[in-house]
Amino acid sequence: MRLCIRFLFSSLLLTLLVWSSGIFAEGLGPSDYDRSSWHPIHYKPVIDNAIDEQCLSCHRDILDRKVLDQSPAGVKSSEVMAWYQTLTTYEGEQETFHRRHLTTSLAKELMDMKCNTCHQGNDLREEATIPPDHSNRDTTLRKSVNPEICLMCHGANPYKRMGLPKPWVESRDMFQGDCLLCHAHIRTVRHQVNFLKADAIEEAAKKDPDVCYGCHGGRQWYRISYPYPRHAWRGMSNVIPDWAKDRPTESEARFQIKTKQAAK
Amino acid sequence: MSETKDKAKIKEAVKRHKRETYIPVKPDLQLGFVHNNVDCIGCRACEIACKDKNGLAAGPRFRRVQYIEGGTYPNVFAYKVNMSCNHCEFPACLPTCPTGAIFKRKEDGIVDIDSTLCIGCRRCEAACPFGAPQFDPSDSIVKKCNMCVDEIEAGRKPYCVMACMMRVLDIGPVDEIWNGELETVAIGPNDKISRQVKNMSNIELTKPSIGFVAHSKGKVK
Amino acid sequence: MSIEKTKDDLYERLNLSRRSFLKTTAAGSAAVAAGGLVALKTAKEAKAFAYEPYPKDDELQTVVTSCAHNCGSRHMLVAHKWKDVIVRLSTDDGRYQRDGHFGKDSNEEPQLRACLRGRSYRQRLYSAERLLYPMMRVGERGEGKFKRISWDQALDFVSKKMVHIKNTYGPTALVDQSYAGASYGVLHKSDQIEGLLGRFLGMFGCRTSSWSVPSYQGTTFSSRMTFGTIEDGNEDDAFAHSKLIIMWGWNPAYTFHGGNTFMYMRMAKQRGCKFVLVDPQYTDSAAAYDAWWIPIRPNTDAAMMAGMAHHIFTNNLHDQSFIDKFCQGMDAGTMPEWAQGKENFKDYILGKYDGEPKTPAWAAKICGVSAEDIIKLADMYAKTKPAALKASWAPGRNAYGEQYNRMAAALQAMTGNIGILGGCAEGVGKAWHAEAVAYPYDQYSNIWFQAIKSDRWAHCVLNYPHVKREEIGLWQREDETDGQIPNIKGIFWQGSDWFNQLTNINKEIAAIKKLELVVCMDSTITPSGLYADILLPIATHFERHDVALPWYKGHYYIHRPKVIEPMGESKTDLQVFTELAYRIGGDVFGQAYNPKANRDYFNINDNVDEAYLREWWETKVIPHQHVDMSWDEFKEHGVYKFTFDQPHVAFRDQIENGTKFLTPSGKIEILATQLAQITDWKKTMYGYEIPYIPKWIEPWESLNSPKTRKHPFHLISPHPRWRTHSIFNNCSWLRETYEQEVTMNASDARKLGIKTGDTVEVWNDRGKCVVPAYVTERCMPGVAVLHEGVWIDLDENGVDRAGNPDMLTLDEPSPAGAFAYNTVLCNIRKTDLEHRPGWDKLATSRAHVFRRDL
Repeated sequence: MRLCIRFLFSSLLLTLLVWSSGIFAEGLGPSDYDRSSWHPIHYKPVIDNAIDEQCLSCHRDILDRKVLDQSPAGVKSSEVMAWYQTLTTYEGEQETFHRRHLTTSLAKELMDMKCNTCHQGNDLREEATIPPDHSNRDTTLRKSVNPEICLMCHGANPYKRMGLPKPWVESRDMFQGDCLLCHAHIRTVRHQVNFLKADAIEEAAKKDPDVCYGCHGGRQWYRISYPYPRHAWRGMSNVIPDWAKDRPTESEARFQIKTKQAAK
Repeated sequence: MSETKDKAKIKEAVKRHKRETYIPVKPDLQLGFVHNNVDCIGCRACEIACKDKNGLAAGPRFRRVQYIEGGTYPNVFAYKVNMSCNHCEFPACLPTCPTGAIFKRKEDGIVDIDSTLCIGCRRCEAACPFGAPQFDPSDSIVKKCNMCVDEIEAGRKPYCVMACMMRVLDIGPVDEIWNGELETVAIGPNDKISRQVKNMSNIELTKPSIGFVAHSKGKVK
Repeated sequence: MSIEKTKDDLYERLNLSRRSFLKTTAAGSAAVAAGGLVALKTAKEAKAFAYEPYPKDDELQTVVTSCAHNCGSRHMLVAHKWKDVIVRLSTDDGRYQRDGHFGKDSNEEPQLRACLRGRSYRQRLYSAERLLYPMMRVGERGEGKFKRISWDQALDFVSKKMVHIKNTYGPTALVDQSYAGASYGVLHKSDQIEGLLGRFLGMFGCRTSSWSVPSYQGTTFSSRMTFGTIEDGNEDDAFAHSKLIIMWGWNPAYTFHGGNTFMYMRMAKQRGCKFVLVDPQYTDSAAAYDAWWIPIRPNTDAAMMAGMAHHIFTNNLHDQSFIDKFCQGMDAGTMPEWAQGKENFKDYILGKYDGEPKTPAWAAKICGVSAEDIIKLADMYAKTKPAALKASWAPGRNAYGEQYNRMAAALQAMTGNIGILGGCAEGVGKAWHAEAVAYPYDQYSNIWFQAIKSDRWAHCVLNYPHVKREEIGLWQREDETDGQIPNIKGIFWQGSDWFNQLTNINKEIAAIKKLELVVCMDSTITPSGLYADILLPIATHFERHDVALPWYKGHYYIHRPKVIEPMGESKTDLQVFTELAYRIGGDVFGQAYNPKANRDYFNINDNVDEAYLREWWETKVIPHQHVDMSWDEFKEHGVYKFTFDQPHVAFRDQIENGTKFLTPSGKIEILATQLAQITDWKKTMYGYEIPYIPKWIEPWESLNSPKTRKHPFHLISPHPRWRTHSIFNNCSWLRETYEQEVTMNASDARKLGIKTGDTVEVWNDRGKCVVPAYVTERCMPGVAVLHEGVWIDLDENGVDRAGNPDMLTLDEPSPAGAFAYNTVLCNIRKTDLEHRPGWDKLATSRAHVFRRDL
């Protein structure tokens, strides 16, 4: 049923696309390149309402691209596996970064990411020269995505705040490597953002603790943790610990789930 | 098929380690860059020297001199932030690599990529908070700054440093850069070193091995 | 070393056998050791240094050479080559000079590090636009249709045509345009006065010379009049000693010419020197030196300086004893006997003659700088000692630009900042005198039969014979040909892209159609080349033997051996001229033109070039400059750096020892003797009157003129950082980092609904070009900045799709000969017209719709 609705929805989007993408015409030349590059869709506020199909009408290759069959030195893609890929949740062939986040089966099962979930306007000048935003506030000296967005999932476990004696690597045996040993009771209102499927994640995690580890530990990129908003959970203490006093109780507005359906 | 069998075998073999987090390499010495954001004229000789050294076509840019400007006419300011790879203490790119192409050298902490092992999945590109790994569309692989290890091993400095006409870019042991002990003309007599400047991603993410002489408008509290 | 390249295939290029030679390196720490991150069936260790070009520097042959484009400077390039291919370029690292070692970088002998343009030379050398064979035009001029021909055919065509033109139209029918070329050395030289082409055409007996220099004619005129020489410059290291540096229209962070000037200025900053920038733009120089930015309306500099002079005089801040001792015509007391009744500068400033005191308030109305700021700057300049007012060239590239430079010299003199360490008399800025010519510079050099202002050739061609001598700035001659209008029928370009660089390109296009011969000698197919009849492939400086020297600042010679063999069928200019001489005038002309050679020179030039250079070193450099290094030792090191006991400061001798200035009076001539005595201006090369003291003269176009109603923006076209004029425009390394764009102030842009990245058209009555806009707070309102030198790319309506500002400039030079490149009004609007970036930008695109390979 849900699938069906989604299918309907995306065909609706496709129809919209035909209407709304006047700039993305056939036979584009160098002249159009500049104009397209600086099209308002690449910047706020328009990018906030950009739909994936609009983005993909020019950047389709981001999903079409496959990894090389073998590296220049002859390393076959099918024969390598990074440590995190040994998790049971990792299936299928080597895939590109974008496909792992958007199109592979696990991604589709647990997430609902959009292009603009991460991409909030790639300032051309950032990689070339000067940011056009003279207030000079919202740019990071990086190519396209602010890594704070990545940090939401791919940060470290703040083991001290979690009350663990040692970092998770060393403590995990104590907890049988199972996050839900504690988190069936603590901070149970989680993943309440519009780019994740909270219910599906909970279901999957019950079956296999690797699911948690797949994003939060296994693919941990960064050495700090994300200061998550404190969604109240059943049984949460009324006393707010010092470290959490500034924390918001809701996610950033653009990630909030508009209908309350999912929370149920 | 034999391939799937091997895959299964590997899976089996690694199973006992599977929840291990990788242990970051602790280098004997950590080299890093230092850049003077104020005195840099932004000429990009370092960038072009790097392109030539590494034989890159237009597209990938290992070193990026980024121009920052602000203010309102006529009270304006401008400065440059110059970064290549920051050879982080905890490089985010490294654990993302499925083929082991990225490694951190024990002797000097340089984070190097052997692009001949790269299959172009572009995870490292996404993970790096500073935009160091560069996808080269002509080869469909990712490449990045390796601090010219060949020059370092020959007892010299990287091409970018040796290209700097203003002498505001240098390398050195990063501890000495941070505590001001490094003897370099990149840092002026009254300059203080900042590890974090405005608009730079949070250094706590990966602990980049870089120091800056920050512009007054580019300082963070 | 086995780095034999077999196939281009990527897998071949980077396969294991190729990598195996690196096993000897200590690259050691492999990924697998780093915590068992990856499980591999076939273990492959990650290794350091995985990029092409593969070999390390120490596995390649090292050759010291230099850049060659004429930016004014010359920095070291070190070629690392494998067989006959330059694999990469590095620069001076202290190793190559005598007693050098890696990292040596002293204040006395600093490293001569190349700029970004120099570092991109491999792309220029091996570019797709490289001209490799003689070509002959088969389409219309400008259409770009050529066929390959042999050298014999090409030279036969050119020599016959030359003789025909000379016989038919006389000795003024060929004009040579060879300033600021891609070809600058002591032997293979493109230069209007000392160059190979002028000597060749002069000896041939058919030459109209182009006498005004596009970059800085207003400035050289001023320095010649005021100081009697263009060598008014300090050496680069002198800048470290200033307490105040006023960068007037000067952006060393873009031009780089001048040894290590920018680096010594950083030293000055660290020693507490204050910086001021007077410029319509807040440049990177202002940012790096933390300068006080005074935005000024373009082409009003002389007015602001007059305001400063007024403040200095009326507050007695001037150095009267310096004035009395060294100046002529600064005030009533320094007027020479013969000049009774003439005006003096101080009384002009005080308004004695025209009833208009040139007060700061008066100046403020003209230049847009507040009277308070004018006073503050005048105060700073008069009271800080020593202070360097560096009056750069750009404000002189204007209508009456010479007045700005003359006015600046007056300020420098009245504050006594000339001839002292930390002061500055620039101007031109040419400092130390190098021995610049290694080929015969004799009675045949620089012979011409008429000479015109360089940007008037098109006017002359289009209006011949109804041209007045003053319109084209005809240089006076002593013989009966004085005043004869040249009948130009052909053009020679030697290593220069003048068609793309002169003013009012549309007028040039009309004029070139009337010519019978257009010859372009270059190593790159330039936009000028597309208008030529014959393209002759010239060897680059990597492919011939020469010695490099900076003509502006910096005190050194860099040896420039033949690094690789000439590509394709390239020949050197000297080979081409020598062979043409033999073809036209047999052994007599051939041997007179190139006395050390015989006719084999066209095929074998190594020994002859070596002989010229050795002779130059041994008979000029060693004796004249007290150089204690033999030619062979010089060749071995590749560089000779002069050291001075104290920084070279222009006119130090005059001020300290009372030596006379090279002017007629022996003084600093605020009142120029030569100008004061001219009675018939039409008979001078200036054509129109030039005041004998510096004066403010309203330009024909500016933000103060009523023409702004139609064209409200003042367009300036400074030198870009990422090109030397038009050279390097085709290098993608440079182009991907810099956009050819029109810079405008944010408030102006807002009114026009323009944002950064919008494609706009910039136009006036003379022409139109299309570029992206860059909107910033760093530019003065009312001013538009479009850097010169981009390669024109015209559509069917004559609109330039690449954004060359010379579509809009006016071919009306200032009386003294200054090109009025920066005296241009224009309008700007958003456009749907096509823009072409001029390089393969799409190769870097991230969108599949633009990428050809996806």
